Amino acid sequence: MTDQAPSGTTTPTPATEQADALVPTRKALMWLGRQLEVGHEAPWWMWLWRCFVLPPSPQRALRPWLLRPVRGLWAGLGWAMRWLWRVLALALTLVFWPIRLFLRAMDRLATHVNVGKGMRLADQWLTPALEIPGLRWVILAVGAVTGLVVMTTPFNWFGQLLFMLLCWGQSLVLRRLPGRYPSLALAAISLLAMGRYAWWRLTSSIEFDSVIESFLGYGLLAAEAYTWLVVVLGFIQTAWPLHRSPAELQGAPASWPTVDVYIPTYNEPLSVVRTTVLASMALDWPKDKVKVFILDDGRREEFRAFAESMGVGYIVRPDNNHAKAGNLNHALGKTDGELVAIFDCDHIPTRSFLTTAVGWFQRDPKCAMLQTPHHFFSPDPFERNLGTFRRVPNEGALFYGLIQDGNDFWNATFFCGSCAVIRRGPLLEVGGIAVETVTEDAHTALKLHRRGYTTAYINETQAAGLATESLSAHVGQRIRWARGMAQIFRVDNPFLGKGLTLWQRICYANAMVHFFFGLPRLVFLTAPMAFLFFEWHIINAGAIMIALYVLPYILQSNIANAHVQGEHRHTFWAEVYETVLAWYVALPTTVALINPRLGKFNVTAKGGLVDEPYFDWVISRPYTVLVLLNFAAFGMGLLRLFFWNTEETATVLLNLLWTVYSILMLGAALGVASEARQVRRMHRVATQLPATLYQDDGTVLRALCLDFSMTGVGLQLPEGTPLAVGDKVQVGLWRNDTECTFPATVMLHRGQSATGFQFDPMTREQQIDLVQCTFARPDTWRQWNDSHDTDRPLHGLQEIAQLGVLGYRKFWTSLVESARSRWPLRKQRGQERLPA
Amino acid sequence: MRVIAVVSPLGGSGRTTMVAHLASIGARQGQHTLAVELCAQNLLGIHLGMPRPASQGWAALAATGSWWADGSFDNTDGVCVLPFGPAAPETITTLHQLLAAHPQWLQDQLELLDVPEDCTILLDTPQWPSPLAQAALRCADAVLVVMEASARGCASTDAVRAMLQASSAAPNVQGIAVTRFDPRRASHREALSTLRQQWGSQLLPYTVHEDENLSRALAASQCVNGMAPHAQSAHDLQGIFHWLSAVPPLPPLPAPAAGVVAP
Repeated sequence: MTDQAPSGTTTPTPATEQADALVPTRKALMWLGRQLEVGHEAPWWMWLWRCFVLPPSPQRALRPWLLRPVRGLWAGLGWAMRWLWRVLALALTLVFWPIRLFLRAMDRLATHVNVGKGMRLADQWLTPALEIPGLRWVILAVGAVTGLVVMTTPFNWFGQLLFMLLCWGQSLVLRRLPGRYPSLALAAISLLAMGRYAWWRLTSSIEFDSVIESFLGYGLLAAEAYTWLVVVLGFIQTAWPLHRSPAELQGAPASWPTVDVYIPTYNEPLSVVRTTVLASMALDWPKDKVKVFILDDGRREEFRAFAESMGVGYIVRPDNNHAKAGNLNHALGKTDGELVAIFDCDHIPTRSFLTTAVGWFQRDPKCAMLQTPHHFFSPDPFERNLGTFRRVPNEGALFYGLIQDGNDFWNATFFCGSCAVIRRGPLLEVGGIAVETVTEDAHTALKLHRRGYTTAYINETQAAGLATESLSAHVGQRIRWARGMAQIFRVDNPFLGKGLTLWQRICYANAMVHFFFGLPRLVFLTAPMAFLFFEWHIINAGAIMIALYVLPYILQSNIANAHVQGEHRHTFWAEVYETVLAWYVALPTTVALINPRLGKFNVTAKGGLVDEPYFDWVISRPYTVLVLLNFAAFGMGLLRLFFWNTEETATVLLNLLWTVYSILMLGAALGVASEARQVRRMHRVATQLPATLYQDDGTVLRALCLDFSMTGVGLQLPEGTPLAVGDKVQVGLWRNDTECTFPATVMLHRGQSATGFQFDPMTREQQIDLVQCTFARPDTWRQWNDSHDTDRPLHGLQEIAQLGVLGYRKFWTSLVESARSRWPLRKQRGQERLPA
Repeated sequence: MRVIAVVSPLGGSGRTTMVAHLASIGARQGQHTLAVELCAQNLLGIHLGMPRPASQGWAALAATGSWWADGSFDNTDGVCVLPFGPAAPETITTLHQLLAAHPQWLQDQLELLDVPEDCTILLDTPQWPSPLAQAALRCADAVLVVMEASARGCASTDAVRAMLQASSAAPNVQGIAVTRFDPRRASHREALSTLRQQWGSQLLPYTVHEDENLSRALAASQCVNGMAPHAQSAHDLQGIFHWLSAVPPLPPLPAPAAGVVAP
């Protein structure tokens, strides 16, 4: 107890000084105590309890209060990043401005080039010159030697830069010229650039210091060699797309061949198969010369009843050996049409399918098979989850739009399982549809080609179906194709055995080798990690030289591809497709290559529904692992850039850039795994058809049909149409000049924009009429590609980058949501206990 | 001056409606149009804006020998209308005698009319056979036969052929328009396909639908193109007008592929 000073005097004593010094802290403590509602005599741990575990009231919680400045910092950081981005964009624009001028100058130069005149002059001079025997081979030899010289001459950095600029300038002019020869020239230049790169790579960049570096280095070289092989084979395959047009039917209808239409099905619902059957019944062909058969491997009663009510054939077999191939072979034995048309159960043919396809069978007696494109009117997982439906060509567009056309020139078109017509005689000669592999369609065509028969491809969509519904179904389908192609490669290699021309062998080989992309793609996704994690140099060359050799190669191939393939596949999208499938395709193809007998056939599910959006964790596990690895590599890369490997900045930067590219592609892959919701079970097809609306009061309105499906339509009606949801109406659609009406109910009415109608139950004739007015119209799919954006490579890259970032965001939100659902917050749990 | 006769062997198939609407559509597009009613029903006026049937028309005037066009009036769309007017049976008899004596009477009267050079004259005729309908056929540059989509229409092949032979218009400007068509009814659909088989390309691709909008427009003394422009019947009538103007309005409907058997 200190001596207290007499009252009235306040001379500070040491004790009171101490006490005075304590007063502010005591005041602070008291204030804090009031804030936290901790009493004076409260034990010490009560402070901590109030701080962190159970705040006195939500407004007084400590954690959010502490986090407030953090949030402010975050917002500030975001603002800074946005400004930094703008400055960067401005700087990039300034840097690229002279390049843009150069591009424009090249475009202007291209307008001065008169391709037609050039062709005529070339014809004038070259044709007589080529008559001289042997000159053709001399020119080819000279060309080959020149090409080799160009490819193998070593340049220093300046020379290589000059070469790059020269190639680039030429390509920019060539890409604006119309015709096949500029395309060939572009492809040739890109082959030259690739050849130079390959030569340099093989001769100057594989000297390794250690065993592990050699192993990884040769692995990367093998992956790159694979891409070179595919480019060369692809160049040959698509050098001259044939653009075959349909042949006119000859003779009277009584002399046309008989056709059996097979619709194999296994476990698909009747609603999916019904439309196909109705459309097949509406095919334009003499009624006594076409028979429709449902081949039901599921042996279901409702299908049998449906077939009976429609008056179509119904074929079953006692077992399910060899899946679809066995099903088709069994039906071959039970029918006798001269031609066989095969449709997957969800591929709806147009009326004009047979009149388009059969002409070539009449014209060419050796023609054994005619294939038409597989078209999908519903979005596949890429289009749906990334939102690119009808803007960006889908994955199959390259194959059916360009590759099969190119195959046709070399007589190497192969059967794709559906939307095709096959001649019975040759098919029976090769023993029916092949059963040795899971890709029975391509194998059958290979056998037909070995016998000397020809095949044809007509690039006009005459049937359309449903795309795979979810990413897992899509991946399953691709695994089957990859496995099948690898099996054929082992069992019936196109390079061995007789009966094929060299060009057919090359085309088939490319089709099969394409599916081996799994391992090389994985190598590319993980290659920079060798340096960034372990500092192993797997390419023994300076980064500048690498850039100078790789850049022209990439630039040339992109310009050439954009020109040749641009309308069928936008630049850089191949990377996305391959990245998504790489992991899954790698193992099955390797296994099938080693032992073709392993592996089972898995059917693709058709007609499923994604009713709740979800993130497919199972499918995206490999991408997640790769993403984490790449992010870790990126982090290491930054550290090496700033601290550890400051003398190898160029190499680190190159590897970092590569990693960023991989991260963006993987982000897009994650975006595809995030399944968006599908609203309707029956996919609607967008269109513009004239329609009429009959209302109860007798008024008839003119309308425009904006979309249709087998269950309903969307009409655009004039403003102010008095309609209420639930009204019964009739909708009129036209089949040629006949108008057919269908009973419908108003489902959705939003004033001016499209009104949705759902069809009421219809009679058999009405259903046939509906298919004929909608799906089976010959011109239904003709303008499908008009809505595609033109291919702008840099813009496409930017879009894919944005999709990558979006993919990561979706991934993160899905992660947080699933974590929250597993570990709910304490507050929620506390509130749950209160009522009890 | 172009004279178009709208004729029909059947009653109630929509000649007056057709004439009124063709005149209206033409007038809206700025053409000079005159609609002459040769039909004693005297109802053309109420299609074109009159609240009641015309109280004076050309029939009584012509029967007494006066200038027949004194009873004409213009409506707000710019259509010049010459209604029949109320007529007793004696007036009709006098007119028939007049036509029997002077077969060219209608032609002369039309030429005497004070109308612009490019005027289109639409003649609404009574049910054929009738002397006035015959006279109209003889002086028409283009003939539009109007028939309803029913068994009655399918059975009138001979009558229509007789009409077309009696007309002096070139065959490519003789057309048959199907009216009062309701595709919801099986009998109409069958009748239309039978008519197509009978007449082939002479049948106009535009069939006028049976539409409540038309009846409502008549009740309001208007044309359906003004009152309900989005009605299907308005669209069909517009199509017929275009066919008459020899302007190709829409791409031709795709013909079936060569050699395909019709369903």
